[in-house]
Amino acid sequence: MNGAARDLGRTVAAAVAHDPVAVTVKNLSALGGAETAEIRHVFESELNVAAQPAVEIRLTISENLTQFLLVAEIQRGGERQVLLESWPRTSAASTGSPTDKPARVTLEKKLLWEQDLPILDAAQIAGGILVLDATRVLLVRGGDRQSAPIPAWHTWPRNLRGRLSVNDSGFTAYLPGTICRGGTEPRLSVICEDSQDPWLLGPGALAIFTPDRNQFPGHIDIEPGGPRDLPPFYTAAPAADGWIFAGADGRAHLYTHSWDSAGAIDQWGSDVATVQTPCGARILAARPTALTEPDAIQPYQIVNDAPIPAGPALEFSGPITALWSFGRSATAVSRDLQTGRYAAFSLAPTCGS
Amino acid sequence: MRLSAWLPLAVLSALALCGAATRPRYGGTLRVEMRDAQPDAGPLRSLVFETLVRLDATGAPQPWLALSWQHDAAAKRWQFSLRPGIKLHDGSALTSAAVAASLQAALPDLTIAATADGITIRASRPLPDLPLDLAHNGWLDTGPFRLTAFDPGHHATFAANEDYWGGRPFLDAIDVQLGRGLRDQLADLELGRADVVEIGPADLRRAADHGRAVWSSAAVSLVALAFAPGHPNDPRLREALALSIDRAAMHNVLLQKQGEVTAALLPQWISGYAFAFPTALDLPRARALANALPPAARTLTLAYDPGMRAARALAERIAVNAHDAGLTVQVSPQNPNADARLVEGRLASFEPERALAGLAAGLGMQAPTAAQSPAALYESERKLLEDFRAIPLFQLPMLYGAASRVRVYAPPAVTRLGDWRFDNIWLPGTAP
Repeated sequence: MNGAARDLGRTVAAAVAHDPVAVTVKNLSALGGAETAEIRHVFESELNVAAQPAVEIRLTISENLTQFLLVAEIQRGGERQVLLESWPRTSAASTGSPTDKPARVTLEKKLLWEQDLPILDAAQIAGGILVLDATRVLLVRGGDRQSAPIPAWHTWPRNLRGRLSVNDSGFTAYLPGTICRGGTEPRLSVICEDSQDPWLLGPGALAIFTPDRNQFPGHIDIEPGGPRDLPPFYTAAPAADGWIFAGADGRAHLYTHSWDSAGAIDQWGSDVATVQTPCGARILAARPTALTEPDAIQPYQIVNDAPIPAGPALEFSGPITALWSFGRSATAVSRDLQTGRYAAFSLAPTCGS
Repeated sequence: MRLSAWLPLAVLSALALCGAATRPRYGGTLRVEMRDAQPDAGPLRSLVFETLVRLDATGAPQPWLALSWQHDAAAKRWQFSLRPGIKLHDGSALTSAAVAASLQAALPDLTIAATADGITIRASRPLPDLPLDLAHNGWLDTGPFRLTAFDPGHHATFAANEDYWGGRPFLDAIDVQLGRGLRDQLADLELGRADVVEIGPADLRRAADHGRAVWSSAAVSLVALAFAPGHPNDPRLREALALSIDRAAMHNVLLQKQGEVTAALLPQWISGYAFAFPTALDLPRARALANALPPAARTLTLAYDPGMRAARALAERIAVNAHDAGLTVQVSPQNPNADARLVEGRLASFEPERALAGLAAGLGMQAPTAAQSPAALYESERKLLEDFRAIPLFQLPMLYGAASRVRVYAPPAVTRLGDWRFDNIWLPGTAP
């Protein structure tokens, strides 16, 4: 930068035969005030700057895709001359919460893991955290990190989904067309297979996932209702008297355990989960925002087949990209709109506050 | 005359698409309309074809079909490694040989060879900005959509590439009506008969009504007056005309302040020096030049393509401005023998030197001299323009209106550089 300013200053000085000049500086680039001042200082140090100038010089700091430019426009009477120097460029919230009634269930979020790659799911295990993304299962235990790759059997669909199911004997990672089973003791071990087997949505709840889409096509086997074909859905969660399916049609559909339709909800997003609280089960639902906007997750209770807010919304700094039930808690993944990084949170409900 | 290839490029400020987006849905057909009846390149190409390199929102090259690249200290020898597992639309695997052949045809001045996992490119001179060039050359049919039907001048349809390496697009198909006038396009958007249409600068606000979105690129399209090559008019006439044009008034009123006024061929964001070409009206000098001409030499005819954005209004305003300088400009829309034509054309490259060469060729100008620095490029461009055979007027963005039902999973749907990313579009309410 300084070299370019110095070189241009010398070239301009020669062009004006070292006559007295006046310099005005304009910055059209992304460089800041300090750099602008520095450029001006170095440039002017090569010139005879005077209060009674014979020549007007307009110095513009500019840029293109790959370089910064210094452009000196020399005006002497009716004559105008343009001189250039350049140098390469180096490679360069939450909104107010809604005013709900006094909270009955409050969600607390605890950061589990953060990374650049999209997190599909994360789960707390004894002494550690499991993280699932498109390329690996990651085990974080204290300062120890182990990872096992997930083979790319297929091209992953857009808006990739993935789910971790953890039990006492190990874990299962579900991805479209791929299922990986593994353990964490004594070290992380994973075996993956090309599989269209159903995903485990919850205890006794199985659903086929469409391998080249971001949705479940609707083939489910959920106890006690048994096998059923429902419309395509994104997520499902048990409700007090049945199940709720966040449908691909943009509505959440309520079903009884005998698969009778019990209404639909329009104001939720595509991700629902259930958490168990001392006050009973509560549905967590994201807002129907765009994936380019901050989102929030709010607990609800289904009363007379209608959703009633059961506590304040928990705001995130970006869209919710995944929300899965995880026993008494839930796991939410959000993409920070400022940093672009993905963060997985454990959402723990407290009751009666 | 129309600049030959309106190739994609440009910075787009995608206005937010909002609404109840939730997760994207697969399925549906996007209905698109465009003016061009014979699109040989441009945005349609970016549906089907891809390049080794893409530019991000800041214009920086990013790996695309290439996974990585490196070059020697002199930037004369480059190595590109290819992303594995990519298929061409005929189902065959993309090979280094196919990439090398495609690039060699596009860049004959370079020596391009296939290697085991990529290609090497050699040049006799340093090519520090080669990735910029590769973002617009060597197109391969690996893209997210396949062309399934093409009725020249009328219609083109595209189907989702089920095997696309980046994941199958959300849309099942894209249906493109060709050769639709801007007025018809806007009416179709308003009546729900089209989902994405081109819009003129004057229709920006109207297009954005009722929850519709407007997608806008950076200034990628040059509007200029071009004199017929070899036309024997007096250079003083051309200079007088250039100095008589009130670009600022046209920009404010006729173009609704879209894009920027210019007297340079390359836009500011490509060259960094466009502002150094003065755009100010200089009526006294224009009059002096006109008065020095014999009366019979103070007249010229001006033609324009009626399909060009705001062409008629701009041409008529140029005639009014010229009259103020003592010139007579007869506007004659499609006169093949006109002295000058109002033309619009898009950049053919992001690399400044190649972009300048493309614009000069489109305007019928001589090839610019080689330039390996901004200073040399400025001098080359200045020489091209010094005889006023081309008079740059405006750099305009590409503007699109999108129906309220159109959702974008990962914005923008049209990049800042002008390419369509319609594989990121999804439609609610369609059968998955």
